[in-house]
Amino acid sequence: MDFRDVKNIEYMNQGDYACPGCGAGLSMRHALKVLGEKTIIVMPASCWSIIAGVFPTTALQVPLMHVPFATAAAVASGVKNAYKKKGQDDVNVVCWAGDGGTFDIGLQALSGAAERKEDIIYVCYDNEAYMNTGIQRSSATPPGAWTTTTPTGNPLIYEKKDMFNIVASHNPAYVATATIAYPDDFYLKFEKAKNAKGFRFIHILSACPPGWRIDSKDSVKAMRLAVESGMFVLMEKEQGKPIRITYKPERFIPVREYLLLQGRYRHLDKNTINEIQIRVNERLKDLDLS
Amino acid sequence: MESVEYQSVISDKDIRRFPISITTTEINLTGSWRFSKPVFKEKVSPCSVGCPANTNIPKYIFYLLKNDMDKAVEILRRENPFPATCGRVCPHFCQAKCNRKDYDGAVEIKQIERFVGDYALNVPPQKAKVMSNKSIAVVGGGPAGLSCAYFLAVNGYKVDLFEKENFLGGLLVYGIPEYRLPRSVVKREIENILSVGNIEVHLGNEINIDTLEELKSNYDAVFVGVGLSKDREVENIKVDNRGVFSGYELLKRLNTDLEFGKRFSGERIGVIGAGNVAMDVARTLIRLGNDVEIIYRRTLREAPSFEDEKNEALEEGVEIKEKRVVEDLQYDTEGRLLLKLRGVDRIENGKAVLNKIKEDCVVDKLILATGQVRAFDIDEDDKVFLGGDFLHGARTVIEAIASGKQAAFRIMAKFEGRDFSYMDKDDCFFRAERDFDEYKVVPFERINLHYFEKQEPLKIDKLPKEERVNNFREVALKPSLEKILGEAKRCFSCGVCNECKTCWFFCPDMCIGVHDGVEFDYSFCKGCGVCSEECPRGVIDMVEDK
Repeated sequence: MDFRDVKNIEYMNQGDYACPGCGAGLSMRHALKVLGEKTIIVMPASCWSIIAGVFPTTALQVPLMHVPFATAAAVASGVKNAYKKKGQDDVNVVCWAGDGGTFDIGLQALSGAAERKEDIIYVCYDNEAYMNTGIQRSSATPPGAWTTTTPTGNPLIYEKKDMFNIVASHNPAYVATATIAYPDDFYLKFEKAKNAKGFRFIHILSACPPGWRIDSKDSVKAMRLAVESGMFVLMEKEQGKPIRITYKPERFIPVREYLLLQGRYRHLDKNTINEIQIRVNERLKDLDLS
Repeated sequence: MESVEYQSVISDKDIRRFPISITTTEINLTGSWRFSKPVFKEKVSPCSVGCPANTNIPKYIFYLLKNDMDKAVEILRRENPFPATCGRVCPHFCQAKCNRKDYDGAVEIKQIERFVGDYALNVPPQKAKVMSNKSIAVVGGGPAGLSCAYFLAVNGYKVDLFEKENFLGGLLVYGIPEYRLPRSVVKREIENILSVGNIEVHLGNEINIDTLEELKSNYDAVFVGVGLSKDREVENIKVDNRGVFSGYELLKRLNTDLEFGKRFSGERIGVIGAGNVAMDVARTLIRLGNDVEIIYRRTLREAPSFEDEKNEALEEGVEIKEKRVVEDLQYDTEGRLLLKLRGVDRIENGKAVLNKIKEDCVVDKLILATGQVRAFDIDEDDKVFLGGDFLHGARTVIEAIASGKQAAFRIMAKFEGRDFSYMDKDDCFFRAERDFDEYKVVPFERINLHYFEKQEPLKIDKLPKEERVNNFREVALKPSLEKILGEAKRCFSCGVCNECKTCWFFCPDMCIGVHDGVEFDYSFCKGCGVCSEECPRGVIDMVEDK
């Protein structure tokens, strides 16, 4: 992607409250560039509730509704239908939820909206724990990862919820995974989501320097290595079509390189890393990637 | 930063019903969180360290890709007034240092330089802005002398250029054959150099050790770059211009006098030596319809000539006798030369140790191309400055240009009463203009390879050998514009910003502006360092911020 061709207009204000190197702030910035000014964000409790600024300031130049944790998809459904009634069907109603508000607390509302085929875009920015409240484990936390509630590492018997397939099984208009470390892919997927009609879901991997225990400068690098190692697979599914892998590295790097970049995995021994590698390999095999 | 105006569509009634934030977070100056800050620091690319003239290669490639050819020419000519010539005959030491070398092959800088150089032929250089009353005598109108004269002239000094031949260019004209460097190119480049003004040319004016004293008293400084004009003597073989010729003198005649070349045709010719002069003589004689055999005391692999020249010579049918010396030669009754060759076991202290192999060989003519030496000896003093082959022995055109340039700056430093110093002593790095922020060579590790897909280097098309052995057409063909731009895009642009905007794209705080370099908005920059880490070419550094 030639970054010189990306439009210069911003829909986010400077002075947001994101930590240095935050992947979520960066993802929002570019998502809004694609979605444009006719967008309304519906946001349950998440890091972004803080990033958006304290009353009476806001970091977004588009309307943003803070809503109770479990209700993002439900509120968004209502907002969209209200707009429809008013004859303003061209507004993108976007849920912007963290992994806690998607994988755990908001799952029933999400499932309901998907089932009703609500015409909304649901974006989950996944930083793999409840980072905002102090790095507590969520069902998006990968096995092995340290959090304050799993001080010896997330037990290996747990597996990260496969949100892509959970949502895909509702047969929505569009479902995809993305990360801003792959800009072409990210822009294309948001473009597709914007242009599709019906329920659309994008799962974004978003690095969290304090929670992942990485240097803030390595934020984009960490997201990239997640994809290069096969820990996070970039794919999409349009209604009625099979799953499509949108990016395949020339050769997958060992997960070790991704894990050892981050402090939250630094306690892992060789066997645990091998176990994680085996699981990744199996997943890649299922996806016909290895 | 462009931004949409915040639309206040909310009524007072709404505000009373539920809290609404309508002001911007821009009151929150997040720059105060920072403990380290990014700084824009352009560095030095390894290619420009490899280049004896230290040309800022990534910069002119950047302007080439930006379709600003005049600026590309300006950058290139700032360090080297002979871009079109060097794009053809320079062995491109830069490519040997290219960071891309171990990734997927070095960038073909030679072809890019040739392309920009050819464009430069029609762009006259800028004239001097300031004038000085000092005048300098430059002795020798070859690449070193012309380069020295050019850099003095553009800086406003008055130059008198003395050349013993009736034309300028020196080795570029009589040393390098037409098929490697067309005369028209050299002519045009010299015209461009003279168009700067301030240079008065005195042709046919040979300077020797006595007249030099005169120059010293008439001028503020004297530059001597007369090259090596005397043949190195070989025991037992004397140049008699009947059957035995000097390679250097012969090449000069062949290159400047077409009629003279007709005297050599359909003969069997031996050439002693395998340097660039030997190769050039051999390949010229092949084109005139002779059989040529090189006799060399080492193996061809060890020969000091350029690899391209060796390969092209072999392709064109030059034969080679490796590890042989001529022990004795005699004329037979028909005026042919009977050579008695001996095998060489090894070379010790520059002397050949012979073995038992004996061989006879008959040739019509024998050419001595075993190198040249200085015609006279002088040393530098506070008024005399040396440069080119005369200073450092037989080397390449670009080294002559570089030493001429450095001599010009040494002279100017002298006038200004300061010492000349390299920008980096270990690398002998010197640029006419300091267009980087910090002298630091960007290593391969600093390149963010994620942003570069592997791509094969450009293949240079050459004239097929059948089409080149009977004429003097240029061997290396000109690649298409498309191919040149494709190759230019491969450049990592190590340490030199090419406004790719990667930093701008990945800045989470929208603090980066890219126009003519990178600007940071330090009132909001949180100092995360993503820009520095993601920059594909190592231009942004993080420094402690107190």
